[in-house]
Amino acid sequence: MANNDFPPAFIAQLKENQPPAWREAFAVLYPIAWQGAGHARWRLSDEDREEVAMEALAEVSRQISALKTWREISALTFVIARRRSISRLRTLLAQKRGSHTNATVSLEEIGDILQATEGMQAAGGLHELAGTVAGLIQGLGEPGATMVREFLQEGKSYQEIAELHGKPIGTVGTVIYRAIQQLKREVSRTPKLMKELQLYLRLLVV
Amino acid sequence: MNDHRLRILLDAGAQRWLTDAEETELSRLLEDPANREVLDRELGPLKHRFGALLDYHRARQAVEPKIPPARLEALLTGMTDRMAPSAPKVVPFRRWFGPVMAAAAIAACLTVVVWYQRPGPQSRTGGELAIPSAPTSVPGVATAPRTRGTFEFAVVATIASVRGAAEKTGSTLGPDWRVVPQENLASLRAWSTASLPASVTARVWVDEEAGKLRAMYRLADGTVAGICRATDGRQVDSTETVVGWYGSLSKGQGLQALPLREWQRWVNEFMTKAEQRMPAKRTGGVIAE
Repeated sequence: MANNDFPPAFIAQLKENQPPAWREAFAVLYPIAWQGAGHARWRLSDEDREEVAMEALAEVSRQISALKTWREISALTFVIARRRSISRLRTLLAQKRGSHTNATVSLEEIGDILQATEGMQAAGGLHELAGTVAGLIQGLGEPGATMVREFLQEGKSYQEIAELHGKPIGTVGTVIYRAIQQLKREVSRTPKLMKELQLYLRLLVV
Repeated sequence: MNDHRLRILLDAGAQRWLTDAEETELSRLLEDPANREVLDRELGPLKHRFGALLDYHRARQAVEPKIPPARLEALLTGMTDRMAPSAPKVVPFRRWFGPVMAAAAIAACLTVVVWYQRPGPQSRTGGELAIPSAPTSVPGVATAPRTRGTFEFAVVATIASVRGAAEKTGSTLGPDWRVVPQENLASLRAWSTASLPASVTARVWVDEEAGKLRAMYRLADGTVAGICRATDGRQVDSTETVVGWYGSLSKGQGLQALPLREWQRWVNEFMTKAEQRMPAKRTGGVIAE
């Protein structure tokens, strides 16, 4: 099933809690939540990841009345799943250390922040900006694009990337530094959007 | 370490102005962990932000994995629970009774054709018709789409006594009960995701894969609802659970007549009792309908 934008009529059906619409929406949102619940830099078990994804979907269905577009819905799904997975990871780590510290971030907190900043509008911007960044990296050509993705998404070190591609570490550093400076320049052209997205980005970053 | 020199070389590299000698020098500098830390400090915040954006972009393209069918049903039934109306739900008369009856109603000079569907004892006899301008009744139309069903109690992938002794349609636990053994998890999945037959009132099982107790049951208005509860990491002793559930459900004689809230209370109580009987040690799978 293509992860396309659904039309307003479909969103209206979701708001009316029509089961067929939600059946389709959950089917499309689940892979998004699953992706949000995972990250190259941490590994939840598949069971935990599924649980996080389900929690995200349930939470989104509860917040549907505040959402206007499919982009907002998918962005919020991803954000909640990401934050939930971070919380779960912290909890697991705390348990492993025998700590009783509750390091989790509550969904209520996320909801409050979203509401306070009218962040739902930013969700559309998040989609646009993510597409822009992905396009710019794609435009770097190979192997630069792969190197940058490995650095940004997979958290690989300069040394690891250099060894993977058989390149000097200076070349890797230059490629990555150049790409990030280019991305920085690009997104700085839309400072208003960046400002609106600060909250989302902060929520997404560990 | 020379931060200044490192930055000059990086900036030159960003502009593609590095000579071979300078690139060699940059590589030499970056082999020093301290210098890599300088670069990380420079790129760190942006790295995380752009990484998150790329993750989101990738997630938007994702079509796998598919949502597990049982999970999807749990979400949908969970929504049904949330939507359970505390006030009467308005359903167009036409939709409820169909065009023929709607036409008959209009012919009978009913000026308001709105059907108030109220889960509970009222709806068993057809609910209430709101007819403010022409108070009358419609004999024969008040028939709720439901009948008293049985409680199938399907056990057990791993209990030998039940697997061997119980027949699939045998009423081994009581007059309204039947035990439906499942041979394996695949049959459990198929069984638990299938539609609730009209002849069955409730289906309850332990989803050991997800660590959840799940129940699917028919509301007074015919809607199939569901409820699930985490088992808090504990697994279920099959024999104990069977006994516990039977004890709970035995009190449910006449459950079909209960209104929605009573249904929910019963299911909650049912779940709680089942959970209380769960030991910490896992011994096998339990399936109950």
